[in-house]
Amino acid sequence: MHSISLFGDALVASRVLMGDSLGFHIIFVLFSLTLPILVCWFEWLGIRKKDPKYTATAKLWSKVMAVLVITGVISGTIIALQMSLVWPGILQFGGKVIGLPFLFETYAFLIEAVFLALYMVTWNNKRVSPYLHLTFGLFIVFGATLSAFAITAINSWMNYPTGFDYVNGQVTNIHVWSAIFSRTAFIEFSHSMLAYYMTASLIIAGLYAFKLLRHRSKDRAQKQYAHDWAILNNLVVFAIVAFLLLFVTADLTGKYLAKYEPVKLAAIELNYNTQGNVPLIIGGVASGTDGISGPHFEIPGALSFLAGSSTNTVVLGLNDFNASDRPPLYVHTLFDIKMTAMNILVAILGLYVLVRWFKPKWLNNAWALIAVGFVGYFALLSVELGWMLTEIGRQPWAVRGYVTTTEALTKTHDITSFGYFFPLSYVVLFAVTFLALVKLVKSERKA
Amino acid sequence: MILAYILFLVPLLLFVTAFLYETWLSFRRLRNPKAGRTGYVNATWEITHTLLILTVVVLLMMFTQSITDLASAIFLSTFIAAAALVVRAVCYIYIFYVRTGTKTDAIDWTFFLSHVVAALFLVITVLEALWFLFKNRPEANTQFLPYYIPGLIVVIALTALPILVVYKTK
Repeated sequence: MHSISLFGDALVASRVLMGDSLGFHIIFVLFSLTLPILVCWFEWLGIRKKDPKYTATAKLWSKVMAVLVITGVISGTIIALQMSLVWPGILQFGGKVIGLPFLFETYAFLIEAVFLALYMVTWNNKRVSPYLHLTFGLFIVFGATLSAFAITAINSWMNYPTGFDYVNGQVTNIHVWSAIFSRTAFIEFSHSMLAYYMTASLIIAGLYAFKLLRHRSKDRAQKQYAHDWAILNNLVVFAIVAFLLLFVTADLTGKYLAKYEPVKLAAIELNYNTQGNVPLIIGGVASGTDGISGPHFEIPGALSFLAGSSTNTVVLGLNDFNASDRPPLYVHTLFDIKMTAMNILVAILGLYVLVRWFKPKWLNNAWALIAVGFVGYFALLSVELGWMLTEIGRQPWAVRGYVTTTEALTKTHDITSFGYFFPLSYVVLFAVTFLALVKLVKSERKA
Repeated sequence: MILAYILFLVPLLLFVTAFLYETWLSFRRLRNPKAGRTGYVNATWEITHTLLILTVVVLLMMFTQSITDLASAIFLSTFIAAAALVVRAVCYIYIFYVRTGTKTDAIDWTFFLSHVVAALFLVITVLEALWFLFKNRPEANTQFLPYYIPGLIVVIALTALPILVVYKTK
């Protein structure tokens, strides 16, 4: 059991630490996963088009990638320690089933780290051909992606534990591969990766948009900024492709939740009763044991349709689950905010496409640039909220159905001293990283 | 069982060696901060930390059946070391990427002290972990080894040459 100390409740402190660490780390994760792809893409364009401007762009963003990695590595180290030391109950229960992805993650990390270092030190090295250099970059992509898969597989297993039998309080008949390569893992991995690609590319596109806006280069004909326009268009196209694929994975996620994590879906949608033709509720908050208060509206049959491609699909409601097994119902509000952010994102991307490719007389580039300048932050908000929904939606379980979050917590109370230190230190780390990036970009511009 | 110990002790030894070298560099550069980034490691940064993560992950994954007690035994020292590593990262980015001057100030000393604190508490962590393993003789998760070791050999083969190139370039 946890206790109250000078610094607060151990469980609360641990949740603060884990939540803040993940929220902070995810910002660097999405750049660590997307930047290698973008850098390789720009480098390849530079080689193919024999255009040194693309190569210079690849080099600039590889330097940014190196700085972000310093910060990402340290927050990743803290999270690795937390998963093992703050929540040892998870691994005590499932270590024999899901321990292997943790070990595979070390491979991925080693490959990513070594090839990142190699990639950085071999820029402009005459003994390394451009294509060999590009190959080093592709290994960074491989390492980063493998690392993301390993970690997402572990999280997926916590959401829907598979690959073992539980007999008389013992984990038996272990199938490591089915625990790792589960349906949950593939859906969660593909959905989160696409969201990272879209978010990071839009944030970077936003920086180019602000640059073009500041120089008032609204006209593509201005040769001086033609390259910046080209990069911006590349990034937006990349983001739009990721976004369109996200529709597919979002649909798969909805159907998956309805079948395998029904209580999470019921809480997210404030669906109390098991029935068909369930509406999608937008707005409102949970009231009492089975009510909704506050302004809201319903789209008839929409939740049933999303859950099973038919308005007649029966969707399980919260009343089918014990009150002690339900997640906090404020996840519904988090989902509403996430969907609002996504709708704004759709509108902005639509506006950009309209301006850039259809060129209506009543709308000019400045509006598109202003919109794109901010759109990435809505995507970032959506990613953060997506992970909050995943994690909070699993409560009260750490490993759903087997280990509660309270049971998974460390027996030591020393955590309370660190629960608030690390979040504060992340703020400082974030600030100094931001300053470093600003200075880096300024110095590159002068050069 | 011995293999389980080797798998976490070897990367640990490599990490300690690399980290002590970095600690020495952080001390040496106090006398000559004008050397800037050339007086400290740059691209090797990530590789050193990777070894630490490798050590921690292997140690904990090998002994998941005793992880609750093992985690309690090494908790405080590990997190103090982690806090020092965060301070070190903040100082590193500030000194080498943000600051323009070359005069030694409190940040350089903090940078050096963060190395010392991290190294000290990581050594304490290792001793606590070894003492725990010696005292309790927990069962190791050897069922992972047939999957883990072949992969590790491939990864080491894949990364060995780049590591040599990186350190040589440094």
